[in-house]
Amino acid sequence: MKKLGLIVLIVVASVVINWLALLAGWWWVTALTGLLIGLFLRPVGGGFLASLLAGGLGWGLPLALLALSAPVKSLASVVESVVGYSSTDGVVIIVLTIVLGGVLSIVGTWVGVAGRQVVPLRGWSARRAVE
Amino acid sequence: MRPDEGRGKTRVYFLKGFSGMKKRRLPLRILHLLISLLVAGGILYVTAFGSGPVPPLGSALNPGTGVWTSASSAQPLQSETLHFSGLQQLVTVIFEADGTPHIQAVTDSDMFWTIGYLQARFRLTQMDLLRRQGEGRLSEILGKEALSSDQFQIMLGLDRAAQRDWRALAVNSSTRQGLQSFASGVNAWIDQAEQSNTLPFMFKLLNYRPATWTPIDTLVIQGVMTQDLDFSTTPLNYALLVNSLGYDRTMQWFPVLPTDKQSPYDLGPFGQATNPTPLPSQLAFSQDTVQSLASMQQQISALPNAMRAGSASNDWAVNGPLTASGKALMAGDPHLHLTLPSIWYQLAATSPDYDFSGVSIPGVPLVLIGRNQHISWSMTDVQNESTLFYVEKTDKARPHQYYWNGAWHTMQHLVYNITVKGHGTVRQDVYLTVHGPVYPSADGQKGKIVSIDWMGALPSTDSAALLNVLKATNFNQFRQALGAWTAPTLNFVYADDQGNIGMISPGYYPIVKSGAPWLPLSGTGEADIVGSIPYSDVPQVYNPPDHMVFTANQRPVANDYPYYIGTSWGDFDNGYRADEIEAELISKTGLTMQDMENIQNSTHDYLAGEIVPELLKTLRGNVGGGNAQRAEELLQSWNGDMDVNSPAASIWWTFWTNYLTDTFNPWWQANHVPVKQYSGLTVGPGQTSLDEDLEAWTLQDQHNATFNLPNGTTRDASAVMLQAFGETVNELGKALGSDPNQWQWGKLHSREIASLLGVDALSYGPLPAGGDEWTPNAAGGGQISPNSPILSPAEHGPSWRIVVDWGSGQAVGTYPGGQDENPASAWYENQIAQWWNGQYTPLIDGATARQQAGSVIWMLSK
Repeated sequence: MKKLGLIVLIVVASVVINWLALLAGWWWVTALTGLLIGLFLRPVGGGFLASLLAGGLGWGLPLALLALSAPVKSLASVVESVVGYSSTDGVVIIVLTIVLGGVLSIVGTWVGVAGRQVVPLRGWSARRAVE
Repeated sequence: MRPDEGRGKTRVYFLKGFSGMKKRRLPLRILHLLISLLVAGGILYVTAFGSGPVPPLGSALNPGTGVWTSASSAQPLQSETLHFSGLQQLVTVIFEADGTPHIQAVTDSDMFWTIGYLQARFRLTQMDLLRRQGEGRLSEILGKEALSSDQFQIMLGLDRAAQRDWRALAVNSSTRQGLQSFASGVNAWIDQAEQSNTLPFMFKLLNYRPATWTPIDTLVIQGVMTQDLDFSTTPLNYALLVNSLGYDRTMQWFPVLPTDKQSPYDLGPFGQATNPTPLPSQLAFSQDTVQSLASMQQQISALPNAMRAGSASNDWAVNGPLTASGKALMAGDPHLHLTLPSIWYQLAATSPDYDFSGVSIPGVPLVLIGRNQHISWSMTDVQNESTLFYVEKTDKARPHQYYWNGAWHTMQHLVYNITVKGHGTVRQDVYLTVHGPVYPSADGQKGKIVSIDWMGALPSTDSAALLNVLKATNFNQFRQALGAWTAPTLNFVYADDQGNIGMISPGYYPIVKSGAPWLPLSGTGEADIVGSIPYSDVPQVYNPPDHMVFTANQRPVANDYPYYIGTSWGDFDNGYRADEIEAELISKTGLTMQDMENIQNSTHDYLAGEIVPELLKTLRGNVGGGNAQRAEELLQSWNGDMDVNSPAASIWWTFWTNYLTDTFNPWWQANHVPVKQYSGLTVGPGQTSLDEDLEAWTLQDQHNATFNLPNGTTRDASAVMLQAFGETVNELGKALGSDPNQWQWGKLHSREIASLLGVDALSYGPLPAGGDEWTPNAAGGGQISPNSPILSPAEHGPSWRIVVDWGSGQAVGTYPGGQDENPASAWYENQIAQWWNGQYTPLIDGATARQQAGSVIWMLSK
């Protein structure tokens, strides 16, 4: 349960970091938080899942919050038609946004996992890592 | 084993050169890392910089700063106080529920600043596109698709003209100060939007930031509007017709003066009419020259927004015994290409020197059409000939030189580098003769070199003229202010609170030394422009004895006007709207605001009222049974209204189209008029001269020789009418079914208000619509194919309607759009429905707006 709680904590922290970074225009921070998850979170499968949640929620929740007061779906529909699609009433743009957050986080995690396999972190205990 | 032993070993293996079993796994891990880095790098690169048509998705879709902020901007406004260092005093802005702002400023400068701020807040994308269009910088954001437009604009030189006009403005002039204050207001919004990441979504999708706004940008946009109303290729079209039909026949069918009876507003008397004749050189163009002219015509016609696209504006005023109040009534509806967002941004403003309301063009800090406390004005396009083409005398042995006034001169040479998104830069050389820019360039052009002398490129003081119009309180001041107007030439209608009405058409009307300006002129100096019609002689009337003034792009003066100003083809309208308006005004007394609105929304076809009785006379006893008989019956009971549900309207329009083609097409075919290459030469209802010819012959000359066939077969109007009617019944039967009652006009004819971005989903319509090319509520659609009666959607129409009743002091207006360019906003297209249904909104004052339900107040302070 402790491990699960820690994973949840890391996901929540990542979501908050991603959200704040997005407000500053730093969309690439999502990839960095993903990288950190990949470096430190174990098992790998859990890391990827946490990363996906951190990225998807980090991008999806601000959008959901905005939708409470602003015509997000209408704007999505406009953007969709401007880029040449018009069959999903904006859903594809909303999904693309959330997926983009997830993908950025996941690729960061992937690099983290791969990097850790090649260059283990000095002084970092596997037991201290979340397994 | 220590917890970190394994990691240490791995590191050791790595340092030792990948030996042992784990050594063999290490390369795979490195490969894994490299692959992950490669994929991540690729994704991050595309996300950061985009790829091809894909914008940088990271910044574009970022929920905090990307396109989504336009959803926030689309939320209803809230009353609030905003602080700006650029303001001198407190400014109050009261927004009506439909988004119309009322600016109350303590200084003139603050008023212009606030107009700039508001226009940018609600129309920044449109403003940026307009200035880019004029400056030839669309390719920078849209890519090579916009390159030909940019090359044309750079050649034409709106930017050069704007920079020259800006330099010519006196440092302390109110015009200069107004333009600077306006630019500061625009830039205040740009700065605010950049800092809050709330730039409109198009900037984020196209991945660019708006440049700082300058007064030159405003002057460029004025140039764009001038081009839209004033640039034409009439002489090129005439040259092509002369080349195939011959000069005499061309001028017989496309005469300078109209063949039908028209209703000019300035009846003179003038005295001796002018009669310019072509110089021999104008009638003997070499094939090289014709090829150059044809190529030029084809290229310019293919460009979007390069030249005048159509005419249909109306304005009129009545006073005295014609009105219910005895005071003045004024109505105006300028017709333009209808877009979303609209070309108009409605506003009202007060400051120490100004108190006006009406509509402005985004990017221009002035109300072009509207009212102040004492006068009101609107405008239509004069449509005189403002573009002259000069065939330059050149010599291959003297590159980039031209012969003028007895000597060889070197062309001025300018070099531009056009940035094309995704394709680097493209060099453009512009060569200028004394007449103007050479099209497209003097380099590598086959055939003759042709330069363009366009009045829109002349030094302009239009901004100063309009500022003085805004302050005028009587006709003398109004007329004096417009003395500084250059281009486009416009028919300004006038009415005031003292019951006076008037009309004046200021601007630059070129007078040439010799030759026929409706044909390309010789560039050697013999046909140069020597001046303009004196202001005292331009068309104008004040308080005419019949108590009415009206224009609808018809020739504004009687045929004995002593100056050449344009031709019946390619310049002036055929006058049916003017005739209809005159008929309506004459037929009533006690006119009210409601009568004005009814005329503006009228879909009555004046020409049908003249021709259908002649057609019915011809049909009587000559029609068999079936659909032809039913069609005849429908015409007999028709009132001439091009109503959306009227089957008779479909019969009339299709008949007239067939009547024109059956009369003229045999001659076109026999003389090989190149309609396939130049669709502008196709016979149809859009050819004003041919409409006028056929109207006149049908009413007065039914045995005109043109009805005969080129092979000598004799025909008269009746024979051609019968033929055309038969074809009409067949075509409508094929297209709309066998029951003539189901041939509603709305099945052939529609109207569309297209998105400025060219996105169908952001457009309005197309929807079935009433009206046609020459009804006051004009909605001309083009023929899609020769054998089909179905028309393309009308995209041109009444862009703004205003009626001012100086008896009550009230004014109303409406336009097809909304105040906000953001498609997610409630103000994007909220005014279209009322416009479509012929309804209006009162132009109220600030105090009334403040009391209105749903109004919002912004306090802007230092």
